Amino acid sequence: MSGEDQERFEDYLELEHFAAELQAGHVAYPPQELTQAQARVYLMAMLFHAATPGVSEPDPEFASRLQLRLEQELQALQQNQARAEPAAPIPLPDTPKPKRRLPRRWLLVGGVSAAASIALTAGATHMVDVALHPPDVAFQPSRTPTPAPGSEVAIKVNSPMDWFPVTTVAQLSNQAIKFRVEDQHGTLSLTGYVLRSEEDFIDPAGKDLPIKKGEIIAMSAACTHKGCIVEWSDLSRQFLCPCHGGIFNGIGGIDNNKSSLYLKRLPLLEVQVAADGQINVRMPDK
Amino acid sequence: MSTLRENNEEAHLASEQAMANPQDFQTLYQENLNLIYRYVYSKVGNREEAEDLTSQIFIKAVRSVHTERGALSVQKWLFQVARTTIADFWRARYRIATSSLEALLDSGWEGPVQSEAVEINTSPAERVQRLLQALPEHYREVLNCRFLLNLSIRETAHHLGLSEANVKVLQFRALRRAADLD
Repeated sequence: MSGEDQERFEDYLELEHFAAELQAGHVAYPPQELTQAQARVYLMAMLFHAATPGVSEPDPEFASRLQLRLEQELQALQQNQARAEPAAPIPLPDTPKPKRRLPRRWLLVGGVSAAASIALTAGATHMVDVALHPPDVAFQPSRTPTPAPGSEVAIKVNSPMDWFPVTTVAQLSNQAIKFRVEDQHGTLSLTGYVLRSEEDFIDPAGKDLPIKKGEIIAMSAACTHKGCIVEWSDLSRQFLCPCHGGIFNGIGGIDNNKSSLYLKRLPLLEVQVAADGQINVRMPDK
Repeated sequence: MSTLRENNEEAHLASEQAMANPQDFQTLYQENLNLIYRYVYSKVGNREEAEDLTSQIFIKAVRSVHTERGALSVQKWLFQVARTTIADFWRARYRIATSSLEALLDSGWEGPVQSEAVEINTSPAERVQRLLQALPEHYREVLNCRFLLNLSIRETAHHLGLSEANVKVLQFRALRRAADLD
């Protein structure tokens, strides 16, 4: 035991080097050859370093990256389970029932839209004031009534337009559908989401119209920080920015309790739901 | 005994449901991320590895929640996964050298089992505060300057009116005394 009390000058220097490395935020390891007592000194140095205020708090960006990763893991696990035992369809809140009497304007495309598709025929141009080339519509009519979670709709337009169709009420179900709008040159002009609002919302500034819970809303997916495309997390029902960890709630708003206070909310887009369930979104003014 | 088992089963079911329910999962994650991260950080001392190991721990936990957790609460179980993950990490680094650090690892790294509850319920900062209170004043001062105030050796020496060489000796001895107290 007496050996433990023998200290060499090098011990002080080695420990100081280690402590300075920790302080600088570098990856550092205790020396390879240590007595048990010395090893415990190094463990103590790590413990005390961890008590430096602020040092051992997880970075918000890391926290949201890991959360996204874990939700993907969980989703994969649950899908495996669901495959073994198919779950009952989830009932939808406030799904508008298709009306029998449709305005003439909608009748033209009612059949197509009701088939849960945004594949557009020539008639579709009557529906909204846009000109779309049918062969350019990348989204194919889905054979399954509900697309897989995380489904994405690509929309191609060949002329400047106002309203464009994204999906249908039947397809939307209770998920968030991501859409990408490209012009005739393939330039991406807008990425956004369509989903049902999970809460009532009244814009304190009075700029946006009030939103009711269950109402279909649309918003831009560009993070208001640096413009990265936010990803919808189906499990936590919020939008997570993969770049710097920004978090937006289910209506694109900022959670005041989170670190992203300085961010602006995701801009809402105008939505129009036709009587046959077709969901159209309006291109925002530049 | 049967009541205990039933309680455990109930707790087990409850946390399985938490894994299945998005909101509950989010709460569970937010409640435990900081705890686990701080714990890991206090064992590796840097952000890079703390993030890496924390990710490993949570991913392991999520993947094997249904098969390996037994009757433990999610939090206790996360700490158990954390302990083995950290021990594996150090063991891999010190595999070749027959150092005492390895001996420490083999004897459980975490010390006696009784300390588990202490580690879950006490943050590294609280543990450090407790140790500081138990140390003689000159040791407490030097550790306070070096770690809690994050001062350099030079700044600490200046602050305490000592030579830099003195500070280096003092911090070594202070940490060794703290290790004895822990």
